[in-house]
Amino acid sequence: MKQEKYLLPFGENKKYQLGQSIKVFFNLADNRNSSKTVEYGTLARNNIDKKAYLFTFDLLMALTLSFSILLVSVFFLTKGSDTTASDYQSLQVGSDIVTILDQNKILDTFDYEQIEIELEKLLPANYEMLLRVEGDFTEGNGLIEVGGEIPENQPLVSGEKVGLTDSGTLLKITYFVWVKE
Amino acid sequence: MASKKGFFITLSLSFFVLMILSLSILFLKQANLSESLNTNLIFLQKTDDLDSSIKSVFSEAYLNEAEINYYQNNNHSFTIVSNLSKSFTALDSLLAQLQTDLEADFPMIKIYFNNFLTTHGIISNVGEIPYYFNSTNGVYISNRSIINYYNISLKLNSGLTSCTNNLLAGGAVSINVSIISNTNNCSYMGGLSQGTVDLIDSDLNGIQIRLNSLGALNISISKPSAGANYLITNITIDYDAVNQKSYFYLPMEVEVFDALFDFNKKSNVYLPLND
Repeated sequence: MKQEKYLLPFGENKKYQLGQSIKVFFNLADNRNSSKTVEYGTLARNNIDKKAYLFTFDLLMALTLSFSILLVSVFFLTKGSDTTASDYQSLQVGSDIVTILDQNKILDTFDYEQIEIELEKLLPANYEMLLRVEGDFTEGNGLIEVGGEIPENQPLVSGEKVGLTDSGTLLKITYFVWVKE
Repeated sequence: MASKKGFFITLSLSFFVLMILSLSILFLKQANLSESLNTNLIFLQKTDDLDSSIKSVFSEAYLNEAEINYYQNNNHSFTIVSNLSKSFTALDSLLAQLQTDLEADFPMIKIYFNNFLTTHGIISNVGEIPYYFNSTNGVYISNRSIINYYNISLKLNSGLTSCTNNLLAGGAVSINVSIISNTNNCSYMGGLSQGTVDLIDSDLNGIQIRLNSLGALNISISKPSAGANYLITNITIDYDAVNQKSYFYLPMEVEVFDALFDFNKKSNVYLPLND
């Protein structure tokens, strides 16, 4: 149904009675030729329609705003977080593995293969890990890296520990842990 | 009638929207809190990892170099076994190197040796009883009111020519002494005592066990070139029974500082427990 816009005639503060004929205009231009005569009741109903439209528009605006905030909040709650409980779990896995390797003197061997074998034994199936051992030792010019390759587009956690070999060499151990895809 | 209905519909919808808005704010706050908790938890885990591993390095270095054994016997006594005399040159050098490397690699770490480099000893957390190495190739235990008696067993790596008991009654702590040598043995079972037990070995060098009136114990060796196994000391310290877990620590401290998290922790280096 086509919506019509009416403007009240001059002297709009005047009170009308229901059913009384009044002249209304179609637009703001003072063109008295584009007017028509309607009953007052028709005009009042049109005002109510206008209010309903405004209320609906207001409601839609509010709902849009609310849902936007809701969506942003959910985003922050889930994917928006930089650190999650899962990261903490991964960090603990890495820390425990390094502690076991250090306590069992596996790192003292500086043997890439042996460290990797022991690492694979300890690492849970759904995790990947890279172990970097630095220190004043001759093997690998003082740098040994064992484990997987750090993924480019995947979140990971890292931690640092130190260890001491029986010969008194300080080992700086850095570990990176991430969940397998 | 129509306007009243519209008013109520608008009002109820406003409440609905307000509810969604409140829920959104709650979600947002919860998300921030959750992230903050996780961040703090991970920071603490990383800090603890580093802190405990550094302490472990120092305790390992100490136990490797100092060759000292300690046993908690029960809830009222512990025993410390150590060969005398000792040289701590290698240990001091290693500790200095570790301090330099660790503070350079981890700016958030600071090592304080306090009096450790002069005493090289350990302290029991129960009653804060110290077991220090002194400048006379011997050991020193400060008086503590919790101590009841010392049970001292010395084993000489040479012959014993003289063993004189100069202990008097009236001290704060009891002492039992037992000396074993390649040739002769001697022993004293004293009550509350003070004074000395003086020994002379076959090389005519002196060993003195001194207990002062307050209960401080000092064992000294007058032989300047006493070797690493010249004397084996086995000292059991009995004290008032306690109902707490006991352990030993080194009187050095490791400090972890992080300005971002406004975190500061300074603690001693604990030694692993021996069964």
